[in-house]
Amino acid sequence: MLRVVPAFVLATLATAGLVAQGPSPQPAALTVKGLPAAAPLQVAAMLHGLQLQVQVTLQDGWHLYGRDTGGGQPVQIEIASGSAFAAVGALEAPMDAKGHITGNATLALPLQRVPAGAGLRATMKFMVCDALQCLPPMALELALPAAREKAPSVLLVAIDESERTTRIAAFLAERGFRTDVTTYAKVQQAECDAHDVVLADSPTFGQCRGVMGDVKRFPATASPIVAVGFLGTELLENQKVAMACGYI
Amino acid sequence: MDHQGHGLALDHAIFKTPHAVTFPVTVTPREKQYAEGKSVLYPDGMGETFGLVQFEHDKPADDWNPTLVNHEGFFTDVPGFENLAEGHSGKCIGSLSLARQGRWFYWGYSTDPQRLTDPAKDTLVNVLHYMRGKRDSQTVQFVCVTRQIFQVSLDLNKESGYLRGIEEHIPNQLTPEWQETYTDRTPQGYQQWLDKHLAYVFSGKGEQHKKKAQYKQVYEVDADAMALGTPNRERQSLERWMQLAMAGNGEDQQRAQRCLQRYVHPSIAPKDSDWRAWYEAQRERIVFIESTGFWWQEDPRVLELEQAVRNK
Repeated sequence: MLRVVPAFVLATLATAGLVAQGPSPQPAALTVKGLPAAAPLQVAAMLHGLQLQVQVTLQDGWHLYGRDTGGGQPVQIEIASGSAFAAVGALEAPMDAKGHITGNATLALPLQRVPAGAGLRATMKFMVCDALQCLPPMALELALPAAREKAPSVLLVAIDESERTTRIAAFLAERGFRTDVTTYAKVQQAECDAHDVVLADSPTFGQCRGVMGDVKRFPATASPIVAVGFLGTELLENQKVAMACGYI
Repeated sequence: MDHQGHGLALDHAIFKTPHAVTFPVTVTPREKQYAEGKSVLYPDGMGETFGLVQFEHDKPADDWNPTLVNHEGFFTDVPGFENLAEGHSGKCIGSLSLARQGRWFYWGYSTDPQRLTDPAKDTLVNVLHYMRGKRDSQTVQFVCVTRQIFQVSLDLNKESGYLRGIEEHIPNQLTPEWQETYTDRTPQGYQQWLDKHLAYVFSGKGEQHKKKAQYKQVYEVDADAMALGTPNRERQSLERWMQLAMAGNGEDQQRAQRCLQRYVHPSIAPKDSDWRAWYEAQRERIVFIESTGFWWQEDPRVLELEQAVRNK
């Protein structure tokens, strides 16, 4: 089995701060996009354990609304579907008696992990107002890429160790996956089970001759499998997965 | 064509995280093969145009058949089955190029970065991230295609006048005693036969339903369910069978007991025939799936959630 994680890729990822931190107690910063340069506030967001914390710093005289007072649109944070988290409670926002959030304030949204999904993406909507006016509603995109979590390990199963296979493996490594390579002739259940995902590759139909027997012997595995193209349909049919048996 | 896609379920995680994927879309007049029919991704049929996207660069001149697409419809009754994109098929609407069932994901395009477009590369990366979270997902085993195959012959006849399905394929996929009931093998006669029998057909129960000649499975009509007026996939029918099995008498009770035995998967059926207690415990956990062999069985989505709770 060939381990394919070029050193330059690891160095690049480490430099970029993208290698594995995971949903640990260590806070992880989210990217914040969509704030107009001239907006009278700054916004930073962190994932802290199972809490999304958004720190707002408002210029003097400006405020957000922590609740609906009939004035501007109150702050809302929505977790996007597909995230590895979901909200499990209301947004906690420090506000004064008028419902205003001013100065330096930290908003907190309690989260829980969900079985599916990756990363954390959220939309923060609000209006920022002073005594005379409200600026147009703003919507910020908050994101913690899944790549900040532990990079998934991928077992690439190919028909051979050709240049094409090397290209695919290098691509996966560049994208942060811990990648091992084997072939349909050699693949074993244990190595499939040991990876987060198995990528069962296939070239085009005409290039698949001679491997059908190996495909039929593909081991049953507990790992999720991405079945590709022609050989993928053969795998699905051989393993009696209700996905590829419907030709008429 | 197979290097393209359409009907993408863009709200799904594989198009959103960790990479927000945007495919340039070419608005294309609806093609002839898409004029008829519906699919999960086109529940109302296709409109006058559709949006075509490139998963791969144009295929090389010295190559062909760059990808295959699955044909949906006969197995997509599995709860939790995810229809995520259709391939640009020359045959018909409803050919899947991206789909998931349990721990299996079908990627109907190349994985070679030389072939993939940038949005497709991001989608592939997203798919691998998404599937990492599916280790506890429950994969449903295929046994037979759903009763939708009966409708296909009728649709093909309406679209093109194709008669072989009605005259030959359908009768050859019926058990001998039900072949005898199908005497008028015209489109009108077939429609009448379907109106009477389709709600009661089943397959996948044993040797009598296994492959015959070139046909993958053979279907039977459930005389018991039909006599009771209980379409075999409806929950109301299951409840009626349980009532009759416990409180009925005579022939109806026997018919109901046979239906319960026929459709409640042995892995979950009660050992003591106390259907009331059984249903109390299983009501929210079970679902009827045809492609596994026409069974009331544990819903794979429920099993996945239960496993996730156990893992916490």
